[in-house]
Amino acid sequence: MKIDDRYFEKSVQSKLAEHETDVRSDLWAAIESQLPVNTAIRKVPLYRRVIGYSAAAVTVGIVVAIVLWQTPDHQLPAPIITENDKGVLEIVQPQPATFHTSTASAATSLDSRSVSVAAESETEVMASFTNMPTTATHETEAVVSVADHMSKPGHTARTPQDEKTYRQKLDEFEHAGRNLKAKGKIPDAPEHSQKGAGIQLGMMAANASPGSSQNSARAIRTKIPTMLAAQHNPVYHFDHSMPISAGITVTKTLPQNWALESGLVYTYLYSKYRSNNGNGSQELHYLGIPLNAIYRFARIKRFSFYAAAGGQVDFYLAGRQKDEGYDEGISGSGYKELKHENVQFSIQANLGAAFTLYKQTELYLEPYMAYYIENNSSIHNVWKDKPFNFGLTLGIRTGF
Amino acid sequence: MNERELIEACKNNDPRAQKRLYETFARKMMSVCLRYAGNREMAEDFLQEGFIKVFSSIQSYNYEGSFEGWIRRIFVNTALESLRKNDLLRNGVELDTLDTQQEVDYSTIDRISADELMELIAQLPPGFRTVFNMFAVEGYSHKEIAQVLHITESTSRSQYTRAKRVLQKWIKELEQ
Repeated sequence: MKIDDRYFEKSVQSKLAEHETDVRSDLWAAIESQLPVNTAIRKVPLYRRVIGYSAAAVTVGIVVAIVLWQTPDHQLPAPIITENDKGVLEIVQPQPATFHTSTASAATSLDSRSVSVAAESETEVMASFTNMPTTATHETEAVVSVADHMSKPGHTARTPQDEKTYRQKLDEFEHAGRNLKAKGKIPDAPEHSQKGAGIQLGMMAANASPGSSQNSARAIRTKIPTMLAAQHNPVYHFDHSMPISAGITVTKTLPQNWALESGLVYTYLYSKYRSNNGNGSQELHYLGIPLNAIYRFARIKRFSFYAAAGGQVDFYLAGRQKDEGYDEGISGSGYKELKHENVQFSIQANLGAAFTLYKQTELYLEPYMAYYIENNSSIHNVWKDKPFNFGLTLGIRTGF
Repeated sequence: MNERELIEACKNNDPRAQKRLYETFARKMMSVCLRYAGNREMAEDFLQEGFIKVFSSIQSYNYEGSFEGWIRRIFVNTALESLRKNDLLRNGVELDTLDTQQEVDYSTIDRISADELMELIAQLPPGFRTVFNMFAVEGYSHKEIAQVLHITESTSRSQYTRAKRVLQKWIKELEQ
């Protein structure tokens, strides 16, 4: 080799060895989206995450069940005696015989109309004592105070003033009793006679409405770099299929037509995406824990109607994307497991109609609306692209 | 963070370290890719694929030799692999029409800038350009080039000589 040749090559090397060229600013984003995820997070295998989430859900369910189980359906009767009455008035459980005597005694000084009223009152009083409503209200206090008044020792010797007071209180008592009956607080049959512990178990399935959106290439995590490199800033169009959910629910019946519902709900999300340099599909799996407060506002024969509101937290279980490129002779397909999905919170409101099939077993249908709160996840799904969603739940529940 | 710490962080898939490594070498490696690709679009493909290979195989770097040299080899190999895969190393245009017996004034190389030289190299047909880059810039021998490109040593020598003469001619034309 001539000396001139070596000189030429050295000159070329010296000129080009340190030469630099500008790089497009968005190239790093395309590279980053294809890099392996942080091993520190990837170290937790999927089955462990599933076990962890399930254990957390079961723990929460058990705790809620125990708390609800220990909560009495009925509040204890409110104290009748105030601080001022202490030492003055002694509460004596009225004996039916005594009560009857005092009522009859009062009735002897009244006309025939009064007698019939007193007889009716007696029935009301007896009903009140056997069917004490759940919560102590001023009406119930009135009932008991009348009973006390009538059962007081030495009460048989009445003055006209006493009789007037007695009749006034009797009227008040009667009025209070009617009010209670009108409000349904004195049911014909005990409300919880067939409810047992007030726990209901159910199975449900739900569908929400599908959606679509346009997103940048950041949403795609492909193993085929040429797919992204072939065109700068490709825009992908997502078509989200209808989300499908299925799960089990536990409902605790509370006083006054209220109930609390929780459970475990699995949700499957499927989407397809397309662009001018590649198509693909995406599958996502979630496990959710709902918590809803339910109020039954109407019962008509075997139908009951209720409204519910609450929230749900969905834990990401697994997901993957399948790419199918068809770019100018560079084509292929590959799966990409998706990681790093954040917890998804949502709030929802339902309207439900239940049909009693047998005893406490009922079939229900619930249209619902839900709002999914932004969780800054890099994965695009129907909840992210269509946060406000409507759906329909069909389920069956039974009580114990 | 020194180079060793940066490498260790990249071995642990630390996203910040990966970005920093990219920022450190991207412009230099883009120049390497552009020399082999001949156009920016293909060079960006090479750059993207090369960095993915760097990060996915960085565990195998054991600190023998310079890190930049290790990275540069990955980019050169990525470019060669892609050119070979896409059958771009065949020269569609022959340079036989040139007078290879003409006198060569090698001092002309000193009279142009690196950017101008890059532009002239980019105009060479892919096969000539690849041999020129491998021999004149990367320092491969003709034997190594022959093995990598699946050509004979004499073909490698011949293509290099022709590429050099053509470049010299173009440099002269550039000066006029």
